[in-house]
Order: sequence, then C-alpha cells, then structure tokens
Amino acid sequence: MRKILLAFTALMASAAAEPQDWLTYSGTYNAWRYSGLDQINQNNVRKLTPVWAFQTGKSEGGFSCTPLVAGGVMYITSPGNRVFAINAATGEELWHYYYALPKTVGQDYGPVNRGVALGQGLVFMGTLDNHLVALDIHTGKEVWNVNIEDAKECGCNITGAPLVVKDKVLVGVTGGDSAHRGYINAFFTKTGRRAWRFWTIPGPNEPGNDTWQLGSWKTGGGATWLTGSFDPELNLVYWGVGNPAADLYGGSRAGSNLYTDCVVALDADTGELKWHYQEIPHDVWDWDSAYECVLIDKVINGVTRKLLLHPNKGGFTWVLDRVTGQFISGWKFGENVSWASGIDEHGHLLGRSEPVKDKPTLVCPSVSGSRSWNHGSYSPRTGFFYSPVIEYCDLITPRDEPAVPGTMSFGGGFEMKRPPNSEAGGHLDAFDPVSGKRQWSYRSKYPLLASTLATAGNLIFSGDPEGHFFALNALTGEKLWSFSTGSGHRGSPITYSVGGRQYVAVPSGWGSAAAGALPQIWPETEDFPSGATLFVFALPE
Amino acid sequence: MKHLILLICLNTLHAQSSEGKKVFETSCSVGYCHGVDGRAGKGPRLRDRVWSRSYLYKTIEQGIPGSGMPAWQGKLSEDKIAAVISYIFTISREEPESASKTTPAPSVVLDMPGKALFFDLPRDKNCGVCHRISDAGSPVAPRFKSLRALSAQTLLKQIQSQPVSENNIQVHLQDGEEFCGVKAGDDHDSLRIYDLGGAGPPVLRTIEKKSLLDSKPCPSLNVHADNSKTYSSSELMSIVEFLTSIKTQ
Repeated sequence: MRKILLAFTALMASAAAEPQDWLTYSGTYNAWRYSGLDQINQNNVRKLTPVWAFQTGKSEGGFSCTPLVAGGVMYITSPGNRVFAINAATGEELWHYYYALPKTVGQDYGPVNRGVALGQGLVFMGTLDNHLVALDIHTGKEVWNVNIEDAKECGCNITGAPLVVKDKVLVGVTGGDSAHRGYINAFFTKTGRRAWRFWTIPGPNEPGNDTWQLGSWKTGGGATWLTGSFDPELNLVYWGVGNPAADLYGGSRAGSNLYTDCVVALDADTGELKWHYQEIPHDVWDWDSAYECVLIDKVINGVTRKLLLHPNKGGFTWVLDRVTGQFISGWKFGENVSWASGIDEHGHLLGRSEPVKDKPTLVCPSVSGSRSWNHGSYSPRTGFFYSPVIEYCDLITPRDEPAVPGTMSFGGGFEMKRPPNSEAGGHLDAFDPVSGKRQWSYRSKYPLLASTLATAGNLIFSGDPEGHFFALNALTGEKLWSFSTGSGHRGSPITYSVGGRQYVAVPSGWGSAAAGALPQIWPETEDFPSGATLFVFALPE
Repeated sequence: MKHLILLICLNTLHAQSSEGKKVFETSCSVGYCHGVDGRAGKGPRLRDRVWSRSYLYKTIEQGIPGSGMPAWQGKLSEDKIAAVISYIFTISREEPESASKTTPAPSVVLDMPGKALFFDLPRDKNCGVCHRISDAGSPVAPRFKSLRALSAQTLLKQIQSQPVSENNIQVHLQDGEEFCGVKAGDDHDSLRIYDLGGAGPPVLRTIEKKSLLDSKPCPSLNVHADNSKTYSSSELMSIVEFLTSIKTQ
C-alpha cells in the first residue's frame, strides 16, 4: 500500500515521468501546468482539429474546471457539482455523479467548481454546501461524504479542487468576502475522518492572534479557495491564503491580520505551520493571496535555490525561498497598479496608498485583480513563466459595515473604471520568473480570464471571452492557431495522450463574477453566450 | 392644493428612494453582487430592465434558493425593503400590475445566544454537526420533536448523557476496521453509516456489504457525554433556552 502511495506521489511530482496523464489540478504538484508531450508542436499546431466534445448541461456561472486524466479516463466537473468520467479518446461517458445539492443553500461564491482530485481509487470533490465527497473511481458511487462546516451558518463553501497528498486529501474553503474564519482541512482518503486542520487565523493564545483588533479574528476571512502545491522532498504543502474580511475596510481589524494574504508552508503529515510569508500586511483592497504557488529551482548567484513563485491579485509576483520562506524578489506584472509603487529589497511594499472610509478612490487594478484566479504556467524548456493579465480599475468606497457571522462582509463597494492613461483589456505575457523581465506580450481586446497551458511542443494554449481557443509560440508569443468554441473561456486547458495520440482538452463556458461585471466597461459582453462544453483536439490521424 | 399633495408625494418618494439608494449600496451592490447602480456583477443587472413589484418583493424577502441571492426578510426592515424597491424603480422600469406584496412567512428560529452556541463552528463537536434545525445543521440525528413540553432540567440531562437511541450500529469490516455510528440507509449492496469516531465532523460512509464481516447495535454509543463537555454549564443553559423556544417545525 505504501509503495502505491509513494508511486502516485512521485508521478504527480514529476511531469516528465508520466506526461500522458494529468493526475492533479495543476498537472503536477509543482503547479507548472506544463506537459512534456510534444507530438503537437509549433510546426504542426495549425492542423489541430476537434475530435470530440462533451456537454455537461450546466452552464450557470462559467465552466471553470481543470479536467484530470488517468489511464485513458478523463474526470471533469461542471457547475452545480456534477462529476463525469469520460473515455478520454472517444468522449463516451463512463459514469456520472450528480451531487444532491440542498435547495436552501445559498451560492455566495457562485455555482462553479474547479475540478476533482484523484487518489487511492477514489475521486474527491468539494461541494457548494461545504461537503467533501469521495467517489469510487470505477463506478462514481459515493464512498464517503463529510459536512465540513454548516454552509448555511458559515456563509462559506468549496469551489476549488482538492489535493491528494499521500494518504490524505486536502481541501480549502471560500468565505473570504464573508464574516468567517478560514481553514485548510486534511482528511484520511480511506475513511473521511479528519487528519488535521490549519486555521488561517490564529485563535486566542496562539501566535499571531494579537495581529487582530479585539474579536475581529473570528470573522476575518482568510479563505483558501484555490488549490495548493506540494514538495515531496521537503514534505511541505504550500497554500495561498486570501484577503482579510471585511475586504475594503480595515478600521475594525487593526493589525497585520495574520495569516491573511500569506503563503503558508505546512507539514504535509500534521498540518503544522513551518513558515509563513505575508505579502500584504493589513490588506484593504481585496488582494487575495490565494493564487497558485509555483515551485521551481533556479540558480541564483551560483547557488541552486528551491523557489516558490506567487502571483498576487494586486499585480505583483513574489519569489520566495520555499525551504525557509525568505524573500528573494518581487516584481510587478500588471501595467496599471496604483495602490503601491513597488517592493523593496527586503520584500516590503513601497508607497502604499490606502483608500479612505466613505471616500470614492480610483484604485488599479480592480478587485478582480491584475489577474483573475485562472492560473499561469511555467515551461522548463523556455524557463519562462506565462500568465494572463487584466487591465481595468475600480472606484472603491470603503464603508464600516457590521460583521455578521456567516454573511457577506465586504466593507464597501466598487465601480469598474477604465485605467486613466491606457486601454482597458487583457494580455498574456511571458516573464523571467525571478527578475520579472517581460519577454513578450500577446494583447487581447477583452480581459483574459482563462488559465494557460505550456507544452514541450513550445506552445502556450489559452482562451478568450469571445470563445477563441488559441495556441501561441512559447518563445515569441506569435499566434499560431485559433478555434472558435462558441462560448467564452473561464477554465483551464490540459493535454494528455492515449494510445500514442496527444490530445488537448478545454472547457468552454462563459460566466462567473468577474465575467458578470465586464458589461460595466464593455456593455456588449452582457450578450456573450454562456456554455458548458468540453472540446478536445488532436492532430488528424 | 392638488399640486401641494403631489409635491409632498413626490418628496416622500424622493426621500424613500434616497434611503433606498443607501440600502442598495450597503446590501445589494456590495461585494461582487449587483454592481454600482445595479450595473451587474455576479448578480444580474438590475438597471434599465423591467421588473414587477411583486417579483422584487418576493425575491428580496425570500431570496432565490440555490443561488447567491439571500433572503432579506428579518435582515432588512419592511421600510428598508420598500425603500430599496423604490430605488430600483429609479434605475429600471416597473411592469404595470396591481401592486401587491406577499405575506411574510413566520420565522421559526429565533436569533438568540443559544442558537449561536448550537452551531458554534470553531467548536469541533457543536450540536449542529449532528442535529438539524430549520434548514441548518446535519441530519445525523432525527429531527427534534417539540421540545417545549420538556422541563429545562430534563432537556439538560438529555444533552449531557442521553446515548444515541435510534439507528446505532457497530460494524466490523474485512480489513479489520471497527467503528460505531448511526445508520443512515441501506440498499441492496451497501450500508450508509455516519461514522462518529473521528476527531472532526461525522463522516457519512457507504460500506459495501461484501466488505462487511458483521454488524450489530451499539447501544452504548454516547456522544453526548463527551461532546457536551466542550460547553460550559451556562452555555448549555443558553442552548436549552434556545431549544425550548423553537416552535414545532
């Protein structure tokens, strides 16, 4: 049994070893979203053609999942917590599981789901009413189901994909815009019994509780709504912790508000905190630090360093030493960033410009960020980090609103605005991961709200709000291929191989909070059609 | 005179919609919801559309189950709901109909300290991890019958010491695992059991009958004795007070 566990862990740790599968949310534990497959490459991608499509039937809120593939079977989720197992070569459904969602549960964080986790013969999914379910990988039958915390009372739920690490399945929680106290939970894969829980906000008498004014720790947010990374050698799990609540008003939570807006490194077996790095002490802009932790090794000053690359919603990327949590570098990736002027050599923010209570202030980027949650990619072939970037701003008005446990706690409102001195829109950029030097920039009329996929075929795949799924040359950013899927892209493309043939899969389906707000600047986007179709492409046989 | 009345009416309407704008800003356009001036967000665009008054009342008061739209009844006063609807009609158009208002449903569960303790989330073994009241909590235990007839003392005693009296079960699996729990269901080839043995919340497990060595009742399963100790005596009294105040569901 232990052998099987270790083998599975090793598989997910190394993309190069088993590139035919896509076993975990980010492809591999290091969150690269990179595949070593190169049958489809810069020379033949123009011939890429659709080979099958799959309809999930649920289009509300955007089709936001990352498909997983193991041994020729694909596992996807749709909004409303539906899971499908599909023959990855033909598109034929093998089984489906429709979670029985109670009608009375609100969906403050939308009906979306970002995908499943696989391990020990089970498929794991977090639900809109904050349960975690384990399904038999062969039949889809429910094996266990745990109600993590009452969704009605906590105003929280799960939209992110779980992460299987050895004999445990780890899952985060939404609730960063609610009066809620966040956590990461680990459950034993076999029984569903809880193995450990890490509170993202320390309780009374714990170190860091004094970074919260009075009782504000109880309702301080700190959501863990996306999926972490894992370094098997260090046995550390890395997870981004979101913003403090109330998002835009900090007057009733004086202090640095640990561990919100932090990267935390946890012992994978016990959940014990090994180190934390806070990017934005006392955040008052909703700069969720919940995004992916990309684990790369680079030579710096002649020494190979184990690094962690962490893009933050506020428009900066932090580079840390993932052994110690020490700051290495910080660089700006958004073009319109007005709330801070930069990061100094010690990692401290320079020129913070805090909005004033009840006074509308133009802040760039918008609360949707210099990037939405959709993930970037790292290619070991080019050495570049690729990420979508979005450019628009908000007129923010912080307000002192009472925090009522389990209900929304935003602390103000916002109105979308075009940037004062440049065009609103989006781009997909290639960066040097340590210095942040931009290598190229692919420009888009509308904000890009889909993840990227990097491949050994020197390709970067992503999609746009109009429904174009496209491939760029990883070295130059030149567009090599595009296909219209008919509905905008909010999910994450992957690639895999069955019987020696490489496939590229992408969810197509427009929707979500960020998509829903775009008509404030681009009125025509209100009429962009939603959808719920998975498209799969390959080269002609 | 007529003009004066009209003017007063218009002034009242104006005052109502400016109050409504405030309510809208602090309740409807907050977060990622309906956007400033109803320009859309995660919630739909409200401005420049046609709405019926009764639809707005129903939706605002009762919410939309299964969506992000909460029920505002009890959270906003009737005056504030009326004001926010007046405001919405300044940014949209009203569908002609006879203005009508749905009757508010009586609220069953009162907000009181005992309720917060019952569902006290950071407490691992809070009452709500097994008991369901109204539409919150887990259905591990059967729903309460009316508790109003019970004396506070009797109820307190039950909370502190009553063993699990219904559907208790002990299973022994082929892989050697043994545990006690509450039987939740049974079909041709599997048993569904709430496993109460872990450090965290109960786990609803589906046990294949082919992997079952044997099963029998587990009458000594007494989670109350342990779990009630996580509350102080005064906290337990608050919970008792809350439970005895609940009307029959």
